[in-house]
Amino acid sequence: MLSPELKKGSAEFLILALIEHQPRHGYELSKLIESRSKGVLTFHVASLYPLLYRMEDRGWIVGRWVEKAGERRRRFYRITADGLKALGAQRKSWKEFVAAIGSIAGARHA
Amino acid sequence: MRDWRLVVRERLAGARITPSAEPDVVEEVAQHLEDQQRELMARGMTESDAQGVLLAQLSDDALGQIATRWRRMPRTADVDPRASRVSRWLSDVRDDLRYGLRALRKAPGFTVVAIATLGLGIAGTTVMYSVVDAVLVRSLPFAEPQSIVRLFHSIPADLGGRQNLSVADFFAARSSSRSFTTMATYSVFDNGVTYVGGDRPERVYGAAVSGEFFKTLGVAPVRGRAFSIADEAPEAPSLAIIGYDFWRRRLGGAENVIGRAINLQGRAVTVVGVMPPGFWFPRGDRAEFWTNNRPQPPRCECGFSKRVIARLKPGVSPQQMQSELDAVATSVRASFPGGPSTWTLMGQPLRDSLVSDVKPVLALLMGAVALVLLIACVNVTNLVLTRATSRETELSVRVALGASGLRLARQLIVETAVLAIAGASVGVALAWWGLGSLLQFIPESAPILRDAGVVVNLRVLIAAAAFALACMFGVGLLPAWIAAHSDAGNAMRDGGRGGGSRQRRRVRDALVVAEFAISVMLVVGAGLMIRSLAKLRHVDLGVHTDGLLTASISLPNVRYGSMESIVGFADRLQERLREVPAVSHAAVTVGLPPDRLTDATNFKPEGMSLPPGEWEPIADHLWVTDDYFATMGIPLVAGRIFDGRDRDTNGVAVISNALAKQIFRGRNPIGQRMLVSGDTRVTIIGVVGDVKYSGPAESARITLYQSFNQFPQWTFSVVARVNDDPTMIVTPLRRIVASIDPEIAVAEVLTLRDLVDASASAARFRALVLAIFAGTALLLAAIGIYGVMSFAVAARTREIGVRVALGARARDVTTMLLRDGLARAALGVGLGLVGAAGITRLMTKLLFGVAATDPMTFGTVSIVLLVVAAGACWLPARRAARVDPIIALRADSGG
Repeated sequence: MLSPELKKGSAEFLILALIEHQPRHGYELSKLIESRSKGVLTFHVASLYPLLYRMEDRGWIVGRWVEKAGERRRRFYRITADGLKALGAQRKSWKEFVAAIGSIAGARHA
Repeated sequence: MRDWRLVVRERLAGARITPSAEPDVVEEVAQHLEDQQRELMARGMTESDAQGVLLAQLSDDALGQIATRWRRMPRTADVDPRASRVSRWLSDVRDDLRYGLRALRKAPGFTVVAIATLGLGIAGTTVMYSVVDAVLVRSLPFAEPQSIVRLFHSIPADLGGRQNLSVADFFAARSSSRSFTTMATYSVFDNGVTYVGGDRPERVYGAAVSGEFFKTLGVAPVRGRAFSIADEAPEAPSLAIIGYDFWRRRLGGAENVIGRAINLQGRAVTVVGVMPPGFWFPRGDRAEFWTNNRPQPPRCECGFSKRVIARLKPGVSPQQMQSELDAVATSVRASFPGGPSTWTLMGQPLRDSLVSDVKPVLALLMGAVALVLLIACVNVTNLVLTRATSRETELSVRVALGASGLRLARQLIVETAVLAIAGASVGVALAWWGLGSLLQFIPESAPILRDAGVVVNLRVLIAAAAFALACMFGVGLLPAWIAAHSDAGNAMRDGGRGGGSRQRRRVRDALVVAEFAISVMLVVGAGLMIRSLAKLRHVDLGVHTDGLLTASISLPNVRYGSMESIVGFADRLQERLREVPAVSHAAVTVGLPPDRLTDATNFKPEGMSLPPGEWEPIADHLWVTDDYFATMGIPLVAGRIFDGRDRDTNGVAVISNALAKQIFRGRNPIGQRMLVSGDTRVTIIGVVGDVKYSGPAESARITLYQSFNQFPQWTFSVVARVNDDPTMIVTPLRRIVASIDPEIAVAEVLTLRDLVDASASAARFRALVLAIFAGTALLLAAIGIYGVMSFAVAARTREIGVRVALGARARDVTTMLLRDGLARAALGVGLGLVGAAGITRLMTKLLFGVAATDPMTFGTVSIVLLVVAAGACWLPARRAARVDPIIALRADSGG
């Protein structure tokens, strides 16, 4: 099971990665995270939105109300230039971290 | 679809969000919740369940986090964060309540069984607490009852443990008292006196009391006056104070009752006061009158028949009281040498002396009822756990969505609170009804239970609420804890059709085993009580119990002033009785088995010397007419019984076998002479078989019989042996007495069997109450194991399907399941037997004729419980055997 600290640290990384190529709204983000991690990671209302608002404050993402044809308006989040930079930096340090752990503890990924 | 915007806005009310930003936040969060609700419903949840799950997410901290960002806004005047926190909590609870009620309504079977079970448990504890409240908690209806003490002599245990005071003791204590403000004595008229005032004479009951009796108790009459010391003087007139009931019923509530003369026991006494309704001291059911006692100055330290109460001066310590009583005892011994020197004069709070008999029984019954409540809670816990398992999907989704263990626990506790409150209401109603029926069985030996007025009052209701609260926490916590720690992921994969985690199943099994263990202990206890009762009712008293009628006669000493007149009446009565065709024998006696003894006496065989300081032996003492032994069926062992010769000669006595053996030890007692009561010389003429006069549970004591014709008494019993049903001579008896003297009342007309039953009333009460508790416990345990078995069968549907598909027969399946169920029950029974063996040891004093570890009782109870378990398991086992393997196997792959 994933410890809360690990989850917290990787949460922003995951959200940045998911909106790298296209904007998404909050509910979609929570469903994607849950399904792609096969239920290992879950976010609920109380933890998702504070995270999104925090990242918005930091300037990594920006939220906009969008009204699509035939649908009600929803708040979509897209990544900013600062967010892309942060995403790259986090990807690099994550790879280094995984490699280091692997060489010490012998954990292999699939 | 619920309007989530309203909910979110309400929950964020205290978060101080910038008014301009609030609509957006509310809209965004509400949309997320709507989408989630749609998804949950698509997965099969009902709308209400889904809403409940989502509401659980909106806890305080969750919303606090969302709102953190907007804390820049200064606090507006009308938003008080404390109030809204409370109101938020309240609306949370309100939602929990609504959700819980809905959930309970959807599972009526579970709800009804749970409420009924809790109701039974709480009813039992409420009834028992009412009794405890009436006897031990509620204060006696006297002024400052804790200051009133009862004085008595502490004597060796084999002589009875305690003894009343003599007149000398009383006078000495009263005259020297520095520790007491007032002191009084009272003697109860056990057999009552005859009241002549209505259309026929009747027996009424009361006590003779000294001058300061009512002052000591601190209760004043509602009319007239109480007695005073002046009324004790030998030349004072005969006075009476009557009870409220007596005044209304027999004197018609007459206004001019004060100063009126009434006829008690042939004597005219003047009424000087009427006591308030409900005043019952010293004997509740027989508190119709109090007469003024005019004690003669004492001649000796003897005749210990005075019951003494006293009121302590404020600030007197127990040590001060005791040292004064010691000084009194010393001075009495100095004034009247020859009395017992080893006795100690002591004082005890009045309440203790009244309840000391009842305390062990109350302790036993409270313990039993606590066990029943425990079983009820265990049963309902099991039910809740079982149901929680079937709601596992819902619960684990909530956990996954962020509902904290605390939130889940709160939800479950609210649900169990609803059950507990409903159960408590049912329980209190049952208790009210049950108390009424139970009060009929209160034993005569515990008059305080009847006198104190056992009711369901406010204190009792509060106690019931406390029991309900205990149930609520006991039942709700365990399932809530388990739910909070459940493995969410596994549960969702299972899809809720599994039998619950192994851990949960083990907990349920353990609970069932516990139920059976506790039930065994209760049933064993009840079984022992029932066997004691049976033994008591059939104990050999030393007489022929059947076919005997008894009645009590009290002659007024005013009109029967001479011995000849009393003997004449008795003779005529016996003669006329013998003329009745069905009567074979008739006699007169003072004292009856099994426990209606009125006198005991000291005696000393001539030529026997006592070691210094030792007191003479004491024997049961009866005065009987010649035909008594034949009437009662008491065998003659040696010598002869009273006959016509003994009318004129003086001093003959018949002794019991036990007395002969104990005192004369092998020597022939016939012809020996004794000194009885310190001053009467008798010659022993015969030895008869032993008879129990002090209760069926005691062994027969040594007995001394003297001839009624030589020493007649005004109050006696007439006994008649009838060839047929003894009650058929009741009317002839009354007619005979009326024909001899129309002003004599015939009271307490009972067969000897009735007397035996009455003496066993305490044992019967205990057996009845324990049997009720044990029966309830057994029923609950059976329901418990039935529930668990049903669920286990449902959980093993796939396994059973596989077995049947592989060729197992219905009988094999049934046997396998029965074996599993019985294994659990057997474990419980085994543990229960061990527990019972330990607990019943505490009951030894209340048992008669049966050991605390009586093998027959233990064995029978084990068999009964195993049969009950087998019966409860059989139905689900049979259902399992009929499972269609195809359906069973398919049920699994559906998911």
